[in-house]
Amino acid sequence: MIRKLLFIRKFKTGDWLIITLTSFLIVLSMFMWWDLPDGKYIEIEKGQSTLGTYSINQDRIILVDGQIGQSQIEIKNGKARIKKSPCRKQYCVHQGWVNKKNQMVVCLPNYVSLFIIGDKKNYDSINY
Amino acid sequence: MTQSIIKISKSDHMIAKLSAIAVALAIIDFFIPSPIPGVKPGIANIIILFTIYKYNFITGVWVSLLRVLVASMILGTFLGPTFFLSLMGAVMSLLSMYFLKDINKAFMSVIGLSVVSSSAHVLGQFLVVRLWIIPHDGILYLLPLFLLSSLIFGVVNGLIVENLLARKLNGQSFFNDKIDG
Repeated sequence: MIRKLLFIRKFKTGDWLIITLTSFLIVLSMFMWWDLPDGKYIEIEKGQSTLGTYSINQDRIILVDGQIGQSQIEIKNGKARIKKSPCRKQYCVHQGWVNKKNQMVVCLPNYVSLFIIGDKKNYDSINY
Repeated sequence: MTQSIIKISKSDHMIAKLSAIAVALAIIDFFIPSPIPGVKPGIANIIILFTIYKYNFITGVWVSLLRVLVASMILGTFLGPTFFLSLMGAVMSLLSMYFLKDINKAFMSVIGLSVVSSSAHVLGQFLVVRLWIIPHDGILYLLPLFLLSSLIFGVVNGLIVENLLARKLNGQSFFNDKIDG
């Protein structure tokens, strides 16, 4: 019984080597891509059109008229969020604050989205 | 009377059998619920590793590519983005297996090969996603998670293959021991 549980014996040197290498790769990729730089601007879009770009360091509340009503976007302490939204499921509101480059909050029912951008806008899946 | 020109060899039958199992596993894989879309155990790789270890690499390539083709036709993703993701993953994992298959079995067992091939699968898919489907760096945020899952499931699948290779049915091997032209 206990012998069956000792499957660890089946691992050979090469296997350990590969497992170590893969773990190293995982940690490396964490350091590379989980540590995103902070954004500098937020860009608000309605449908296909850009409504405006705002600095993330200036606290303010922006009102956006979307497809089904008015969304309230709040910028505070270098972070941004959708504070109020007329949509039914409120996914965008529950997502909370974003401040890292390339992060985004999208409210599909109201056609309103906000993107955090660095110095210039990158291409993304929504408008490439 | 016209005679059939194509001679169906024993190995063709074996490839068909193994591919059928691989397709079945791929479809089970498709329906396993997963917390992150795309993180899957990849159990079809079990049969491909088994094929490569028990028979030869070329048979493994046949089984793998037939698996991708037939499973995508059954699931209705043929020639869609999912199909190319799956194809790229299969090609990358076959490539990695090609370079590592001849390593001494006393040094590296099928577990190591399983981990390498599943990681190669993930990396190949991310290459396609990053370059073609979602050309945005944000997608790389998911890479560590996918690599971690490939490590875990690679080890599990490898252990399953290890057991499968050692298993006997009524004192006989589960599959024919030899494959001939």
